[in-house]
Amino acid sequence: MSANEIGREVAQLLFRAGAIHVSRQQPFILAAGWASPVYVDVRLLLGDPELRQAVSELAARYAGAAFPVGSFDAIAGAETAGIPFAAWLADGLALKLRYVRKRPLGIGRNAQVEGGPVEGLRVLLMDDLTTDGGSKLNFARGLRAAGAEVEHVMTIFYHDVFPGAGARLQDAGLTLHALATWGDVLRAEASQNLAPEDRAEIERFLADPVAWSTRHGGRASLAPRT
Amino acid sequence: MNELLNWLLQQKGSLRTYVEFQDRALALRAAEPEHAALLRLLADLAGRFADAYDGQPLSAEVAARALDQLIELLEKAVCQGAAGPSDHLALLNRIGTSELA
Repeated sequence: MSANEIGREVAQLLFRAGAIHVSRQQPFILAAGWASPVYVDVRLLLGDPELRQAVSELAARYAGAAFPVGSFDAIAGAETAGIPFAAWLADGLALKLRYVRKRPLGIGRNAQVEGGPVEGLRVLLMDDLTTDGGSKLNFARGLRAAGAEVEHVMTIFYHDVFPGAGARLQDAGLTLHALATWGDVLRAEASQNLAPEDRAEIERFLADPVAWSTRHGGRASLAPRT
Repeated sequence: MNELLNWLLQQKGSLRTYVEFQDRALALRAAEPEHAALLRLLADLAGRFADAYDGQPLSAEVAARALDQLIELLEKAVCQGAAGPSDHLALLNRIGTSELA
């Protein structure tokens, strides 16, 4: 199964889960500050046994094709939604499991990584969603600070429309592996069920996401900001 | 706190604004210990909002409303320099019972 086929399958699962939300009147503000007419709730895959099993199998297939056997010692789930996906992938690949908090607790052990030591382990970071990569950098920093080797990030969905995300991760020595992107969503058979107006709005957004965001009160440039 | 306010006024109010606000406010306590209680309460307020919307769709309307509220509270905190203890306490209590959006 090719990466494109996996992308389309994952997109189908996202549609089946009802994870693609479109709001033409009231845009969403994504975590990175971009305004968007669409919001993808990957966590809806978690709730249905058939869907979560299917996406877990696709993640394992992707990993099997993308990485030589023995590339990783552990999968680390990113708090919060990355943790269950990481757990299923770790099961599928018979690897250790860890999870990484958004930030250290600040008290007690002040740990950011849980589940056991990661020092010297080659870790694949797993999360549900990537927008501009900012949170992935934070998670990778936490894992590296604890002694892990982190070079790869896997995510169920990646917007792949906002400029700079890939370069930002690359600068940090991270390669992003996304099971599905907007391209896959629009190519998926189920996308034919989108209302024509919704599809048109998504296409306007995808044609120039920065301009769309600017027009709708969201972030307007690549300048570092929160 | 002026610098914190100036920074906040330049933000769009995405979730990362609140996470960074929390970090900045907590860090500022060391430089401005006389405002430690205010900063702790404001940081917790922002942190609760960030936690509540973590991974949730944040509409532009809610984002704008929450940012306006946080700016208003921080402006009041900045303007409290000459206020008496009872006004300080009133503001602390107001922040302590507030939620954003």
